[in-house]
Amino acid sequence: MRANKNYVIFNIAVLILMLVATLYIYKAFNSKAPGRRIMSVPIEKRVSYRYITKSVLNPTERRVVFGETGYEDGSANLVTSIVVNYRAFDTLLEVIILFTATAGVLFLMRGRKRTGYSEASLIVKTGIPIINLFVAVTGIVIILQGHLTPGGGFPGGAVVASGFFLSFLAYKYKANKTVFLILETIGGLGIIIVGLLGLFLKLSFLENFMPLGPIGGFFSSGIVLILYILIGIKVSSEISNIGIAFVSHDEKEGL
Amino acid sequence: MTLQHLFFINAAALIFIGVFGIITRKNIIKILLAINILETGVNLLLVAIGWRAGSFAPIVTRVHSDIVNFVDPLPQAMVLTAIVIAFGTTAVGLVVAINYFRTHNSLETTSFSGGSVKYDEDEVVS
Repeated sequence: MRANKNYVIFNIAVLILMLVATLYIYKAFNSKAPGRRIMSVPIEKRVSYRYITKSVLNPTERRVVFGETGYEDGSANLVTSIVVNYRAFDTLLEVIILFTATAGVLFLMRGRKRTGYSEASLIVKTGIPIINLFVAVTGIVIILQGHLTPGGGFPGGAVVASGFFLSFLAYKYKANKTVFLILETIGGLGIIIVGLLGLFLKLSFLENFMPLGPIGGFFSSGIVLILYILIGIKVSSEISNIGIAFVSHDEKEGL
Repeated sequence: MTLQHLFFINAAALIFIGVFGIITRKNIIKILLAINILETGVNLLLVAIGWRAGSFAPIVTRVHSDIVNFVDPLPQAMVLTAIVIAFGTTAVGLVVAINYFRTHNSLETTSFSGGSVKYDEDEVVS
């Protein structure tokens, strides 16, 4: 890029404008105007209080105790409880966004095959199966324990997909997109079917219809575990498909 | 000055860098990087808003049981959505950048129109 004079002046102008904007935002943050600021609201007055006490439908003051049953939702991880139980519809649309992104990537990269491949060294080729074992185990554990520990279907799926990434980079796979597309379809359809089961067996779409266990147990969260497994399958196959698209080259010209 | 203020300052710095990069950079990859930095800053800001002094991570364990003294879990759930959307937009943006490079042989936004580069209409997509 040619660093001409106008460009430098433009950069400096933008810098000054943004500093002024930052000053105003800082003044707004430290404003003494009447009203209630976000952070000064106590937790009992926030929406999250109902999520923390797991009492959205019937407000009670009962707190969540480890190892006990009888709550609306059984996840020990409160973020998972919000993401996959209370706001599961939001998560469904989030998965659809990811699907749309994958579809866009595959559409824009269509008709390209992987031709440019440079041989990886012996160390890489030998080491990657060992690393992939750990990567796969870690990813599956993150997916399966999403309702107990930090994690879940999205990060676990990304970890599993990173193992596939390594394989694509090291070996001369003729990676098959169709397998991943089938897995993705299974994941997506599974989420819809679980949602419809909630609609028919209970009242609303994606409502929990399975028995809940004690807080902290493995089978404690009802449909959250099933949904996170399906999301993990879907996310890992989608990200792997994006990886295949990115390592594929045109037959005529290398990039 | 608490930990929360430190997070706010960091978030503001990241958002500043991101917006500055989006406005002034001319390389598409750099613009995408700036968008990602901006998104990181916004995520950090959201998580920092949910922080409360002396509270714990929102997971019920044997140690942290029978309390409501957790940080706000709702912004963290929102951030999960934001991260996924950021990933999707970045992936699509990178593919668009690849196709742009194929047709224009350049990654500069100054070669959007005019210039010396010519391209065929049907090469833009495939």
